Amino acid sequence: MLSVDGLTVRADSAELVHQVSFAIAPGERVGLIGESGSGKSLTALSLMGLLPEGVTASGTARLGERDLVGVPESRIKDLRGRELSMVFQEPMTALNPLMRIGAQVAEVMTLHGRSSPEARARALDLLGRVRLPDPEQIFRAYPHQLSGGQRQRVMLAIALANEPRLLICDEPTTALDVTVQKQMLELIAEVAPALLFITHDLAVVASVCERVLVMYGGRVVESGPIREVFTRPRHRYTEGLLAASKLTPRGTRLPTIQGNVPPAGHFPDGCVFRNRCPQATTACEQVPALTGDGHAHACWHPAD
Amino acid sequence: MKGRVNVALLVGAVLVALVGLAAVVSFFWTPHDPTLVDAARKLREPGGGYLLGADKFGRDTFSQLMVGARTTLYVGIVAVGIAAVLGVPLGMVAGMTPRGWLSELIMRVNDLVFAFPALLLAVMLGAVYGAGTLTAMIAIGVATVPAFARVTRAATLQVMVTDYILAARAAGRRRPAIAVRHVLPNISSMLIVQASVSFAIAILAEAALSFLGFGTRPPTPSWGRMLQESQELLFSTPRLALWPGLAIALAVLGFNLLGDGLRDYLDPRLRRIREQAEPPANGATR
Repeated sequence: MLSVDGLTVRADSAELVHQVSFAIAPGERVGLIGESGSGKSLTALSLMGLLPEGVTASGTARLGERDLVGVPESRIKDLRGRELSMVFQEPMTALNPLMRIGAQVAEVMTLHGRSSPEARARALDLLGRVRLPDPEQIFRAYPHQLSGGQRQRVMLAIALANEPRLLICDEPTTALDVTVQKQMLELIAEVAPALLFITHDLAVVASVCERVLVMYGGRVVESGPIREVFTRPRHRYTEGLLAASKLTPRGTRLPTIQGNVPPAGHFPDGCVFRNRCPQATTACEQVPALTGDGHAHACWHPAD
Repeated sequence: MKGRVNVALLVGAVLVALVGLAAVVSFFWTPHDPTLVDAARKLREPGGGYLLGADKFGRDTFSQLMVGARTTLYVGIVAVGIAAVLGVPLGMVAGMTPRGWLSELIMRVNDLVFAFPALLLAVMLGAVYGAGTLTAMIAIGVATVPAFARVTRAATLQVMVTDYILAARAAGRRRPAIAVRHVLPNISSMLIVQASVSFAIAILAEAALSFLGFGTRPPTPSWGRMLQESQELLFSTPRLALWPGLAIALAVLGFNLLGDGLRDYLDPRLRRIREQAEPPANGATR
């Protein structure tokens, strides 16, 4: 349904996302993980056509029959909010502080051609569907009267309003309490038609997604079914990530990945991870290709 | 904020309300006809139905002040109206397309007009089209456009980077709709403050123009012209200059205090601090 092929995002001279390719089937839930600056948010924004000014995307991305990348904004505007929609990270700022919740949920429907009484009725319905207590009261409330978790549910209701074919979530639970986070994740997994879920939290991705893409330095370095990638990581970066997220006995040092993520545009040539990789050799000066069916990795010295 | 009285806001609002009240009442009632010339009452001392006395033509000063308040508000409203109607859309266009050529063009022309003194523009327009209240209002209004455009642009830039604008775009809203539904309501507090401050400046400008003879034409009473007419009697009858001068000072003070008070009350940064002071809904967890 969604197919992305050779997606590249650049700002001026720096390449921020390099040749990213993946596909999402209807009903499939795919996770996109990586640390800050790995290009996962840019990948999502370029699908929505919402890249900041001065940042451009090339390559192809198709949702069904429609091109998403490299076409003028006017041609994908009717897709946004209808065929694909997005939930943002910060529930505190993603709602207009001066509009009532109900109006904001209904607006996204009237915008795409529903009558306003119908949109209001459906908005109320949606607020109930994302398990907000007392939807009628929430409908009349202003954003500042809701908690973070409630606001994020409202954002989800807005995203689902037009029954999109694909839902993109950009760290939707990062700003929430752990308990609220769990409820939110269960809700997303339940209501999402097809999902692209962006996070840096491995536990979160494991609980929501069926398949995962690991990004580092603007490239997909490993991809595959979640169980395989997490139990048998091949790329050394994934391996490091998983090691760092394991609970270790008290008194032992927490395993880390040495060094820091270089600033955008300053990744080494060849394998982007080679300056931090314990296994790096001269072979790594060549760019490794993403190889393997199902469970793919881009590494010259894969684990196992 | 609730429970603590904002003194500036209160004093400003009272002063502005007084000017407004005088202007409204003057439509229905003044102690005397403010334009009636009567040699018998020439320079009449205060008292006996003439609360503040009469001027060199025998016109009642208090009545003139009341009708003058009307002129003052009229000029302020029209001038600020012109400035807002032209400046706000220009500023919003510039703020919503910060890297476009149109934005550059708007802001550079804006700088050009900004550099031009308002009074000079008014005197020029007066010389070409004839002096009068309307000319003065248009000149003051046009000269105030850049201030509005700048404030609007700055406020718009702040709003445009918020997530709810991104969310609105993600929902498929088009630019003009985003401008009207999301940007304008969220910058309105800053515009109200700007309008209040500009109003004070417009009052001063009108007084200055009338004093110079480029503003309100006789016989319509105007505080600025009352000052000018009292000029030659400044040492013999200072009260004739005192009252209109005081009226101008208090009106300007009132609008400035109102603007300041509104800024404290509506400032989005202060508002955000107040919001954060509320019990946080959910802490961030990593």
